Amino acid sequence: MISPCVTIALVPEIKTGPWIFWEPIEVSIPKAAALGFQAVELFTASADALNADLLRKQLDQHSLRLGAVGTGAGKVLHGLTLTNPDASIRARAVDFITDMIAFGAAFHAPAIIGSMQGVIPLEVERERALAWLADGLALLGQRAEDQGVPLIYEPLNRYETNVFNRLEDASHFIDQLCNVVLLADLFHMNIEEASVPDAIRKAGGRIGHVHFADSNRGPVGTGHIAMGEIVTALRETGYNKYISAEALPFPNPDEAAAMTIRSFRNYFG
Amino acid sequence: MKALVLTKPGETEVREIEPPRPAEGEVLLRVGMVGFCGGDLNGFRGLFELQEYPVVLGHEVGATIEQLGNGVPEQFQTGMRVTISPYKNCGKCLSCRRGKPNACVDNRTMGVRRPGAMTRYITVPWKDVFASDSLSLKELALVEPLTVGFHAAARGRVGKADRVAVIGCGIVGMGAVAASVHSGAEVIAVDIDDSKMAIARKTGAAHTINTSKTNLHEALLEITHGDGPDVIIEAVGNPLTYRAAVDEVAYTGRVVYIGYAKKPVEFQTGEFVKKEIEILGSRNSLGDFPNVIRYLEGGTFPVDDVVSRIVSLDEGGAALAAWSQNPGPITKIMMDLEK
Repeated sequence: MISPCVTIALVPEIKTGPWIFWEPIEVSIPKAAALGFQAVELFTASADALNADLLRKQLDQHSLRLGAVGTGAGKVLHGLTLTNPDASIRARAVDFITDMIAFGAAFHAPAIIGSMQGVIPLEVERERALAWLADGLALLGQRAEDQGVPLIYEPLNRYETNVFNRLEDASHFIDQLCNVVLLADLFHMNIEEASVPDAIRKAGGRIGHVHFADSNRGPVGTGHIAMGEIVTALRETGYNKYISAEALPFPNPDEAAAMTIRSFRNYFG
Repeated sequence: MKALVLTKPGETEVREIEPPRPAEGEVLLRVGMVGFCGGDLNGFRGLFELQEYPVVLGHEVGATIEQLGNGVPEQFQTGMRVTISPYKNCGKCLSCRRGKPNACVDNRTMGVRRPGAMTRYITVPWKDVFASDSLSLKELALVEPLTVGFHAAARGRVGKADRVAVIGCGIVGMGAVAASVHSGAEVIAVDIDDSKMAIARKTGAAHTINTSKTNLHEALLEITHGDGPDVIIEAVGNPLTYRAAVDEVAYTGRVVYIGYAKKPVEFQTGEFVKKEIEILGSRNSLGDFPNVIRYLEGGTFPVDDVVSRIVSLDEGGAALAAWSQNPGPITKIMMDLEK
């Protein structure tokens, strides 16, 4: 069943990013539950930055689930990526994500690889960098499978990565891997795809997570994405997982969260 | 090529039409099996307000991909067995903008407001095509009518804590039975025909009520320990069953209407308020094709029991007329284009 999920960022260093809630989980989780979200997606500094017992207690108390965990702090805080020419950095990136997979898997939640895919440097051949990425994702996909969760790979727009920008290209890439699914981020797709609904239909069952944001990366309803056709396409692929609000908290987190849940009910209710 | 055309209420004829060619983004399908829908019956009887005449009938399709037009994604290949979504929405109205094209103000369903599939070849946009490796053409032709029942169960938010009564166990009602059973609900199938009751049992209904023999009110109260069903899905379109749904549903329950009532219906509206019930319409289906294909691939649906009769294209008109004469025991007639 398609369920609403909302992002909570717990990394002060990136406080300009596209996450709805920024307050500690003791504050954010009750707010998410009160609005009717069924899960939260967490962005933490590392796998051990958040007390797992405290998280479990908060989730249980408010009948929420952990929808996914973001790994971007590995790049933002530590400079780790899976396409870095330095093999030791790639290895540390794999270790960082492995820990995040374990953290999420304890709550049956998958980890997302977005910015940690990195940017292929000009001096590195694309095929070589993609081989590094494939090696990393193959290993991480297997580790995720061992813990009963998928691994989520997120194509980003051209201003954030040159690895894969469109779902179709990423689909061909992950088809050679095991247990790796795609994240359809509507903001990135709005920039890159010729048709967001058609891209969703073509990716079909490969889509394992959706980021719900408008054309301006605000909460859905503040921009000009033609959401109706996108929702129709998602339904037609049989998508039945989370619709997660990864959007800028405009005008403020509480109002952005309220607008998101209203939009979710309009389209998926 | 030959096609079965509904020319006006009460009349069909087999006509010759031109074979289509796939345009950009379209696939050419060789039609194998096509189901006759309750809407076809009502169109034949002149009771379906949306039916246009003349029109090639048929929108419940099991087919094989014959040819691909330019721009069709590589996930589609010739020889694949498929079914299709027969709806065409405007993309502009409020329903479409809200992601609910099933309720498009200008929806055009094949065989109702545009040419249908009771012919050898049709072309459709690739976006409307849904494939299955394992389902037969007969099973694929059952997907669309079952999606209508699945959508109704979704509208009623049917869950495992619910007791659900489905009134009317034609193929659409059977879809609602199947979806509700699949959701873990305790299902009560209601009809006036014992053969349909038996199929509902095979589909997983825990209880059946034949209202030609048993008092509906008393039977429902007994099964639900005096509460009434949490959800009632009405799949007949008769004023009596429309009213019964409201009268019998539990306090704070949900009523879902699929059937188009053929006459105005009078209600004791105080029941709406007193019980604080939710009354929901349910039209066509919304993203249910993959779910129904997965469900049928599970192999638990009694396909061979549901399909009452298989006819050729030349026999189609007479079969429709016979169905109109005696609709009671028939769940699904199919046209086999190979026959």
